[in-house]
Amino acid sequence: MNFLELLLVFLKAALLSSGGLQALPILEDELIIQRSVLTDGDFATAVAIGRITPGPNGLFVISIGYYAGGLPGALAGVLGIMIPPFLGIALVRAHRRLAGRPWVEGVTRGMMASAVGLLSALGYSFGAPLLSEPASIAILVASLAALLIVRADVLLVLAGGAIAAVGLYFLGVPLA
Amino acid sequence: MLECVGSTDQHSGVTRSLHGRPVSRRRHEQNRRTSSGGPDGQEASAQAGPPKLLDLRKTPARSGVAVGHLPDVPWVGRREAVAAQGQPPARGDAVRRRSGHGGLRTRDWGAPTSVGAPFLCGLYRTSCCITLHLRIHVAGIQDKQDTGVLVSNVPLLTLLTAFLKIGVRSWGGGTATIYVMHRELVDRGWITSEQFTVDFGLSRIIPGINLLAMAVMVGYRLNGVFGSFAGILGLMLPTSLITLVITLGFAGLTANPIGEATVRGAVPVTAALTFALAFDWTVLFPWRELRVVALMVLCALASFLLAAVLDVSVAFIIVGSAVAGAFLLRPSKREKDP
Repeated sequence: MNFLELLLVFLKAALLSSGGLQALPILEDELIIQRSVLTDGDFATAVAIGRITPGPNGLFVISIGYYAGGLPGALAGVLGIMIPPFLGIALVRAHRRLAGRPWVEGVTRGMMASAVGLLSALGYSFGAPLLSEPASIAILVASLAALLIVRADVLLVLAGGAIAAVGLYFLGVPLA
Repeated sequence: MLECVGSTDQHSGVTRSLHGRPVSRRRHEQNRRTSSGGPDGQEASAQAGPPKLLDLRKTPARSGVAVGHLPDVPWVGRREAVAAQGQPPARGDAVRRRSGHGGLRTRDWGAPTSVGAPFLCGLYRTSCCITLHLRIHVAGIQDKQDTGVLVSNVPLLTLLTAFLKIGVRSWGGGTATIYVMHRELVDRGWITSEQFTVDFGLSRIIPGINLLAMAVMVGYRLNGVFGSFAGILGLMLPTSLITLVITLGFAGLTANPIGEATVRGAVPVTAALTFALAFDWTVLFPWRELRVVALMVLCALASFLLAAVLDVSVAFIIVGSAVAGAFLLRPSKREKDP
């Protein structure tokens, strides 16, 4: 597929989704079912890569672009996900114009509360599958303690989790 | 450049805007975090008005002298501040130490140590000047301020560096990125945690990847349109390069059981990051207001249940709680004047 076509597909997927992973079904429909430029295997690999890489969820688009169109395809993926966020500027301007009124303060608090709830829900979606394996729960609790009590650096905690997982692998303890 | 467009009087604590008018004050009075920043903040709180926004374009203006002011400036990290405090302000030394901080302090070079440095600094100053005039006369951006944003006109290089740092460090997906971003931006004293949660909520409404929208929004708040470009580029450059590299070498990684175990180990840590951040945000609730806090906890619980159990759309939950907040969570009079 050429660069422009891919870019338009990625833009469509980004504009019709909210949050990186919601673009997944749209891209699947466009690239696998309608155009059949990718296989299911490519798609699964791309999503797995998206989970490993640093940064926001949804960067799997770059891998998909690479599989569908080489390096220009990857570039199309990068551009496709970078353009829609600029709608945020309009939102900031609107928010700024209204700031300082009591009801805006109320809105802020409501959003703050829902942010806490939504973030916990996200953690729950990660954490629920882990409950079947005690070793995973142990890593979760230990890293929570390191983050909240010791205030350890994120990279240190992540490295600790990875080292623990490799150690457990050699001991033969299963992880979720 | 500083002298030609604006002036800063450190002693009276009055920051003038570009056209000589005083920079409009922050409207919000109850932001406790601002008044904690050294003499600058104390001076401001000693005056009758609310603390003023720190404009990075205008402070600290002169080389040598400004070294003494370093610890007072909130965007300098604690470690750097301590290091700067222990040493006498030697001029050449100051230049070298400062040039490590992006564009911010390269702007006032005292005694140049090489031929390249003044040329680059001059180039940077010119580009800053052009940017500034473009912003004011073409884009029409004035010094409008947000309640939770503590600084303005953060130099683009500093902003870019901050987001590059976030991008490189945020292994572990979106939640790790939120966590790292929160720590980086709040520790630098750029925005308050409250502002961060608001932007978090606002960014969910925008289509596409929310965290990129968040980078754009924070960048825009800190330095206008150019700042938003710096924010998103800083976040995307390292992460997309790493993604590309992993894509090229993916087959080798998963064939290795140790590589797979490493990936598995990151999952519980990511869950922990999420919970830790959620806990940190509950600290921001106005705990003295029992009625409001009770409602907010209820709201948080409800959004958790709706999202985790009933799988309701996230945008719907955020808009719903924003509307509920507008009616139920307004600050009461007692809270306004303590």
